[in-house]
Amino acid sequence: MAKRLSTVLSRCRVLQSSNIRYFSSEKPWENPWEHALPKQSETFTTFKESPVNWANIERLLPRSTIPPMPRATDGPFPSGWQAPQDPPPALPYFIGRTRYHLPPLFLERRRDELNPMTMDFEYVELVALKEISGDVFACDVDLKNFLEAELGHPVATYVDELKGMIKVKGAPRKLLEKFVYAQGF
Amino acid sequence: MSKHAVKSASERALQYVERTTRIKLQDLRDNPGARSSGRAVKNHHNSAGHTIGELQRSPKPPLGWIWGDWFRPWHRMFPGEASFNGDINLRREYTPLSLLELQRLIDLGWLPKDEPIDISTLCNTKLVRVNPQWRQFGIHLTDEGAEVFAAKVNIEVQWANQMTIAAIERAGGRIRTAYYDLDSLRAAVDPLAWFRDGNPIPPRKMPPHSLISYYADANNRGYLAPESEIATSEQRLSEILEYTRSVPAEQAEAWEAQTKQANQVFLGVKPGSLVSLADRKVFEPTHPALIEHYSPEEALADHLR
Repeated sequence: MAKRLSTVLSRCRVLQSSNIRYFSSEKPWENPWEHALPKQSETFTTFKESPVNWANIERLLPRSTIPPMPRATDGPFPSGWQAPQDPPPALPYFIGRTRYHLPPLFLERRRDELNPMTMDFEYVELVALKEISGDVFACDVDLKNFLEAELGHPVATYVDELKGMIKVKGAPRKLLEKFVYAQGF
Repeated sequence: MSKHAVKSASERALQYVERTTRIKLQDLRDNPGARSSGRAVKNHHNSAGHTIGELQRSPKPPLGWIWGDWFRPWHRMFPGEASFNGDINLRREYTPLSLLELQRLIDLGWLPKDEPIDISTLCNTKLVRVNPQWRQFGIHLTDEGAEVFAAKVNIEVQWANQMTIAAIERAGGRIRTAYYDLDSLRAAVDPLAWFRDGNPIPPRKMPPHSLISYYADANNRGYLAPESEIATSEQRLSEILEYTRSVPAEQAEAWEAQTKQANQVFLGVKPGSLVSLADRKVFEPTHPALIEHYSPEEALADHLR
């Protein structure tokens, strides 16, 4: 809730310059305390309405919802983003999108083994493809074929059917994104 | 008493105090993050291990504790070297944002079309975060994705290299690099919270000594560089990288209207203004001292190195 103007105004006290008394005709012995103590007058600043285009302020306020997904007809998109096919492709599985309308690909860095020579841990980088419903194993077969054809070397996958997730070792996330888009999800 | 020619030191001192700005003792406070409290290390009469029960239930020693000394843990046993990472608390960081990510934000509708994009717009998406508390001074637009970038934008960032600038100008857009000091950045990264707290908009300070040359250089599209120099630099860059750079006059005028002044944090809003979201109005102070403070004739430079 916006603070009231009065509470904000109280922050704006100003010390008035007391140079004026140097030019007064009053002799110092008539009122010795006036000379001894500096004059302090507190001046609150007043505020006036500023003629501002309110659109400039509205532009600074964040949106509260995720923007709706762009239509496929608005594309092609230079960033490489693709809309999912509508209706979805006729495959035994379905790969959903995240709430940000992006393919559900996540990176993971797991500790592998201790290298006794450097006494440092070696890490393995995995890519997880989530939100898979239907025949997850069929998806795994398609994914493996696609990646091995692109890369030329075998990739390891771990399928979690209950979660609808496939973890891949040996392939970059960009390639998995290419697979998801190529399948039309 | 009239003014005499020679004033005593105490009179002069009193004059300085009288003419100083309206600071009182209760107004003096540290800048945010200046002090941090240490964790209290307690030594409970060394009773942590007489029996197994005591050992299991006792408070455990702090990290790095070497037997005996509670105030010299392992990581404070060894002397440091002032020259090694001596300025670690003074270094600046910039959050990287690639051109690819920027293009994706535009494609997915996070950034408004035909409106200037600045750090407030990017932080409002909540997908790009800049934290002034961690001494992050803004956004560094990287050139990853320069070959696919195709959006015509009017963008203001804090750091950009030549390839990034070329990519934006090749697409027909406009890029400027601008400095935000940490106080202004706190307002810029979360304008809604700033307005809700009822804070006046801070005046943006000039860059510190080490950054003046960067932001005054037309090749970096610095906001302090003159427009004519920037135009020359744009043409030179387009010749080097072999693309055409021609901005129609109406577009240039529209961009001119969308440019902030050097001391403005938000476009079209004077520093020192109070924004009232409830009233949908903006108020500015009338006292000349405050007007001078928020829009000084000589711009104040940030005190950092």
